[in-house]
Amino acid sequence: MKFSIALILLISVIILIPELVSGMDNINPEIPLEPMIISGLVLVIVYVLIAFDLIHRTLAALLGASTILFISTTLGAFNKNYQILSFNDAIDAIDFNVVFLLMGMMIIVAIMRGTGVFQWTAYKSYELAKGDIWRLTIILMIVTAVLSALLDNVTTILLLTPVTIEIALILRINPWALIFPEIMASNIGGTATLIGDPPNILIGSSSGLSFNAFLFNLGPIALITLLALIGMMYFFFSKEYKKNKNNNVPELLKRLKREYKIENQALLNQCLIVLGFVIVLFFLHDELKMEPSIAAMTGAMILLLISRTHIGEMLDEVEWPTLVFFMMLFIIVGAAEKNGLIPAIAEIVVQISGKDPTSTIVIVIWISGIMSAIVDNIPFTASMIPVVEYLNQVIPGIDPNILWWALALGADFGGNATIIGASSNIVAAGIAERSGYAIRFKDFIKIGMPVAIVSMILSTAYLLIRY
Amino acid sequence: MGKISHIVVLTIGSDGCKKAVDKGIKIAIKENCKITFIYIVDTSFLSGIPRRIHGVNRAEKDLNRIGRIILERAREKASKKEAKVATAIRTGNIMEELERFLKESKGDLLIISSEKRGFLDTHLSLASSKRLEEITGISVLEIE
Repeated sequence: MKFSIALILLISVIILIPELVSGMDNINPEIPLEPMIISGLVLVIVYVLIAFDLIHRTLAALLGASTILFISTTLGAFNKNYQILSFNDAIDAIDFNVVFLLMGMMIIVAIMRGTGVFQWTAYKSYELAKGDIWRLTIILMIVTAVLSALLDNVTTILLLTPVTIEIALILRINPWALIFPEIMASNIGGTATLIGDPPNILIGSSSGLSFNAFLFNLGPIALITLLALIGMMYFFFSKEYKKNKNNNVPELLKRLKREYKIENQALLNQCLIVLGFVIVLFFLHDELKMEPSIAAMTGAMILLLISRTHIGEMLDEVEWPTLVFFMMLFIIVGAAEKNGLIPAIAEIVVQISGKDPTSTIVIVIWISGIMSAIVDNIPFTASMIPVVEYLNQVIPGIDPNILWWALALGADFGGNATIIGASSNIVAAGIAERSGYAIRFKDFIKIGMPVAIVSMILSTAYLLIRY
Repeated sequence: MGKISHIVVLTIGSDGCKKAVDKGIKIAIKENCKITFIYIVDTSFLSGIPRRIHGVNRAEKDLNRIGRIILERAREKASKKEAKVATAIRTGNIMEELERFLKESKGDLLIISSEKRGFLDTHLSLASSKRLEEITGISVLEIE
């Protein structure tokens, strides 16, 4: 079924794209149509392959990038119209700041994970809550949001969710009442910083916006949305939160303390010192004219040295498929941009918005939110970055940064709407299912969609009022 | 079906599984036989996520712990009704581990829950149950 839908979509795209592109009246007549059509087709095919999970996303991106380069160097040798992207242009299109930043943070997170600090945090949250489930939920939401703002969401959710479910099962409450707040808080927390979510890393690197700029501009709305989330979660799960009167708190605390202790205190101290150092560098990177990737790589290197991790093991810790995915994606989007497809799409946005800044902001944030709920927000953001760059040049009187914030908020918050909106949603749903509390697509939408819509409304109002 | 001496109930703690547990206890008391509740730790949903970077190995441990809580609940229920009860936990592919356990434990009745589009339904469809019956030669009772 999934394959049939994807196939029909692909065939439609292959038939329609040349028609659409040739029908666009905003295309520069000096640019040949062939490379634009091919790069557009490749981009859409890669999207479909990823969206329908037909092949691994890294393989889809590799297929797209190698197709572009293969056509450019074979057909392109005979006909210049098929020179979609040269090898040198492909290398230039890769944003190594993003690649190295991800690599550095991956190493830091991987080493930190081994200390058991994530699970210990969940136990401490229960201790702080003194057995009150509603208080525990609020603490867990704050903890998850902060961890997700500084580290990656999948690790945070994968390590916190099982402890949370264990607590819920022992207290005989529905684990959904704790898991949903965690999932939503993770996506909201990741919005607050440059390193919190991959779309922010992409936007930060392309726009040159600093860590501080992200924190000061997106931090307040992330906080407002988190407060709204707290209220919404109470609305959805108040019955469960009121169930905690007859539980043996000291006994559960004893059990959690025994199971979730810090496994390596010395390593944790080293990790915290290095992470602190890296965060200080993030705050200062704009003044130092230092790319954030240098801060992350420096931190990872120091941590590797002091923790005496084996270099081979260190390389195992790096999530290479994700890094390759990013690199190939840059090549695909670079080709679409170079051949005029992305400016053409941006021009359509300009025409719809009538060059009105307010309309443009609303279009960017809502389209990003809707798309991120349906497709992987990483390729979507990568494709939207050149569109936003173009819009910043042609919309008169628009604050040069506001569209970046609109894109980040839409791409990040949209992930809460559906189970496939973010990797961490899928991970949490998988663990919940194996604990007897399956979260199906429609179950997720019932809670995630209202949260995403409220987040988007708040974000739209925030952007329009503040800027 | 002849005399039952050992009932095996597969559970993940869902509502459907709770019904399967209840049914298993009822039969075990009636037949005066042993009942074993089994939970299988399956992390196949994390196949797209690199194992080391995100701590997938750790997730197996965590699910193991959750499984023990679920099994403890089932054991409490059976003990209250004075059934001869045991629990087991395994890690791996659900179908393969279940087959292995049934052979090892010499179970002669398997009770599973059939939840529409549920986790167990995905892994143990009706066809799988029939296959299980063929492979192990024991009866499979599906609770809807």
